[in-house]
Amino acid sequence: MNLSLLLLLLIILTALVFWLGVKLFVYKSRFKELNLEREKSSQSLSEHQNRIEELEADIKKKLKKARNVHQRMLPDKLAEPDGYFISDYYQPAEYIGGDYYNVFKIDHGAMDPFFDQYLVYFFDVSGHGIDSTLLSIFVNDSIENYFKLRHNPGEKISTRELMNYIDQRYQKEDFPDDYLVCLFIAVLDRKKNTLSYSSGGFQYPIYKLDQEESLEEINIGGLPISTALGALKDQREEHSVDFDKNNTLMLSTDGLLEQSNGSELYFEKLQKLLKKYKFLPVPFLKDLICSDFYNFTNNSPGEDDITFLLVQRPEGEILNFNLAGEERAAKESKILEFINQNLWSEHKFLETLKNIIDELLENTKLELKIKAFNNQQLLMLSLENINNYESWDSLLNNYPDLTSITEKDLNMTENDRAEISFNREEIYFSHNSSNNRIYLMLIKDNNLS
Amino acid sequence: MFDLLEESLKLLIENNKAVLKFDGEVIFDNSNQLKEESKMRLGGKKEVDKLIIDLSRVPYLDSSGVGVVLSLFKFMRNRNGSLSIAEPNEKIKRVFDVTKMTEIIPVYATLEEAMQEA
Repeated sequence: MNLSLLLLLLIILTALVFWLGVKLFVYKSRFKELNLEREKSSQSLSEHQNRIEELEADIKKKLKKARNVHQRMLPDKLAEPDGYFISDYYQPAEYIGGDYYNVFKIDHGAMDPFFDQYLVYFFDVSGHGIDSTLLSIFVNDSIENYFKLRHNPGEKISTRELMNYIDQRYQKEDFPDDYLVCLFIAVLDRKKNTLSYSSGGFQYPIYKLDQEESLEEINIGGLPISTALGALKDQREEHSVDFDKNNTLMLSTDGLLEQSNGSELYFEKLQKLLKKYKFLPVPFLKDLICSDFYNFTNNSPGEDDITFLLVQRPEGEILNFNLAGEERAAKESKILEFINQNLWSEHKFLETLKNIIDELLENTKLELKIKAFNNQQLLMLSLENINNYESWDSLLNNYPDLTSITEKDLNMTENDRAEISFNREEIYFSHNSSNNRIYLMLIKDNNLS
Repeated sequence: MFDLLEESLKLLIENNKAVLKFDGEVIFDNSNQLKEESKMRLGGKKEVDKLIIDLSRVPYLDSSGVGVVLSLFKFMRNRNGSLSIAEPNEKIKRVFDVTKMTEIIPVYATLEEAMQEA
C-alpha cells in the first residue's frame, strides 16, 4: 500500500476518532445536562406531588371540620310524642351532605293543653358537597323562622303554607337554578293521631306498615323547590293519613331507596324486609334496615346521603318514668313492678334485666328517663341519659352478651333476604344516633310475625 | 374532559329547533359540565327557541340530573323559548310523573313526536 494513502487513511481515522471523541464529549455533556434536568424535573414533580398531597390533606381536614359542623347541625334529640317511638338514621355520602331531618314539638304557648302537635320534616338538597350543606342550613333556617315569625300559638298549621313560605324565601335568595330541594313537611297531631303533610320533589314513596294489612305505598311526589321553576304558590297540596295503633311510617330521602347493587335497587328489597319485620319496635327495625342495606352494598357507603326516619304508634302499654327530681325511690319500685308484671318469672333474662335496671338506678347522679313498652310479643325499655352524666360503656362492658343487630351477621336466604330469628334467648340492644338513649328488648313469643 | 363531553352530549339544530342528546347517566359527577357545555353550545344559536332533550340513551338521572333539566328549562324560558323531553325510559318518566314536572315540561315517548309537537 502506498505510504501517502496510508497517511491519508491515518489522518481520516484520526479525524474520525477525534470527531467521535468530540461527539462523545458533547453527548456526555448533554447526557449530564439531561440527567440534571431530569433530576430537577423529578424533584419539582416530587415537590408538586407533596404540595398536592398537602393540599389534599388540608381539604380533607377542612371537610372533616365541615362534617363536624354539619353533624352538630343535625338534631341531638328528636321530640317523641307520648305513645309513639321515633328512630332516625343519617349517613352522608362523602364528608358532608345535603340531607336534613328533624322532629320538634310545635309551641302553642298557653294553648298547649289543647294541641299536641309535632313538626316532622326531612329534605334533600341536590349534590353532596359544602354547597348542598349550606343550602340545607338555609332551608332548615327557613322552617325555624316560620315558627318564630309567622306562626302564632294556637293557630292551625298548614303544611302547604309552610311550603309556600320556604319556596318564596328560597326564590328571594336567587340560588343557582340547577339546585333543587326535595322537601317533606308534616304535622303529627297526637290528639287526632293523624299526619298532615305536603311534599315536593321526592320520586319515591313513603311506606305505611300495618300489622294486619300489607305494606302501603304513599306517593308523596310534587314539584321540587327550584329557582328554575320560580315560586309555586299552593302547588304542593296538603294530604293527611291516619296514624292508627300498630302503624309505622317509614320516611326516607332517595339515597337509601335508589341505591343499586348492579342488578337491583334497594327499595325493592326494603319492601320485603319491612313486611317481614313489621312487628319490631322502630329502634330495632332501624338497625335491621342498616345491616341489610350495608350487606346489600357490600359494606360500602351509599352513593348518596342515606337518611331515614321511622315513626311508630305501637299497640300495647307504654309507661314513662322520669327519674330526675323527687320521689326517685317510688319511681324505681314502679319500674321494677312493671317488669315483674309483664315478664313471667321463668323468663331466662328476667333477672339480668332487673340487674341492669338496679345498677342504673343505684347511680343517683344519672338522670334517667325510662319509656317502657309492653305487648304480648315483647317488652322494650328505652333508657335516656338526660344529663349525659355517664356513657353507656360501663353497662355494655358489664353485660357483654347483649345482642346488637348491627353487629349480628345477617343470614341471607336464597332470595337474598335478611333472615334473623328473634327469640327468647337474647336481650337485644340498640342505641340512638347521638348515643344518649339505649333500648333493651326481650322477646316473649318465639313465633313472632 | 371535553372529549368525554363530546361523546356524552350532542347538539343537532334544524332551523329554530334543537335536539340535545345526552348519552349515559346524568348524575352529580357530570351534571355541572353537561349543563355548562349545553348552555355554551346553545348560547351561540340565538335562533333556537325550541329545545328537545333526547334521553333515549340516558339510563339514569339523579337529582343533580333533574337540576340540569330544570336549569335548561329556565335558560329556554329566558329566551322566550320552550323545552320538552323525548324518549325517557320508564324509570325517568316515572320521576317526571311523580314530581309533576310533566305539568311544566312536556314529555314525549318518541323524538319524532316531540319534534312534531315542539
